Amino acid sequence: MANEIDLNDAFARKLMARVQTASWSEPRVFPNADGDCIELLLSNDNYRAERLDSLVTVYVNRENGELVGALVKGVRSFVRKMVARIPGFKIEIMDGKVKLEYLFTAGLWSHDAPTNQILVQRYRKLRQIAEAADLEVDLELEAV
Amino acid sequence: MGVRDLQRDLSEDKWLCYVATPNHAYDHKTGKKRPSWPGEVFLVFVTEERVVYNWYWCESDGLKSHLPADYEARFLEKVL
Repeated sequence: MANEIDLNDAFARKLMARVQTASWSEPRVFPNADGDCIELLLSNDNYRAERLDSLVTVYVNRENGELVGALVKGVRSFVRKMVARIPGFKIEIMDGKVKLEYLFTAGLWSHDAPTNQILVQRYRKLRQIAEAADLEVDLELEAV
Repeated sequence: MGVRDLQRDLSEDKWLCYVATPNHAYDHKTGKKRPSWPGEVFLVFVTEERVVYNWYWCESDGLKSHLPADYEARFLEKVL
């Protein structure tokens, strides 16, 4: 039998108090160094996740199919692979930071002649958003 | 167990993904409790160091509705 969460519990109340109901106007990036991933959220719309490939899972609005965000997984290992494959990629890592648009570009380019148009469209949209907002990722990349 | 990638890292073989269909979900905008999303399952991902790194709802498999779509390609083995 599933355990019910007691929403009157002190921890639950503290957690629920942090729920932000106001609409967002700018993309937000949430790095998770322990999980070696970053989460990009464009709004607080309800979404479901759709795995794009081994690097990116996109969050899609259930009602209109619009992009709500993305999870970029295994960031450090992906960057290491990119540096090994294309040494020049290291130039884009400055002070342990890399622009998120470059990660999305590298993710898209890592597919050999991508024929999945949805994948291409999603990646292009993510890249466009990351570029427009000048988003960076800092996940202790100095060791790359 | 074993969160898989097309070019997966060996270290991810010990990562875990818990899957369930809870009775309720929560609305992102309001934080209010609501019925679970139909045709979806809830996933919680855990690294080898037992760090919960993400959780989300995603489409369920067409035949095994208690599992996520494409589960055979996404995970190494079922341990529970």
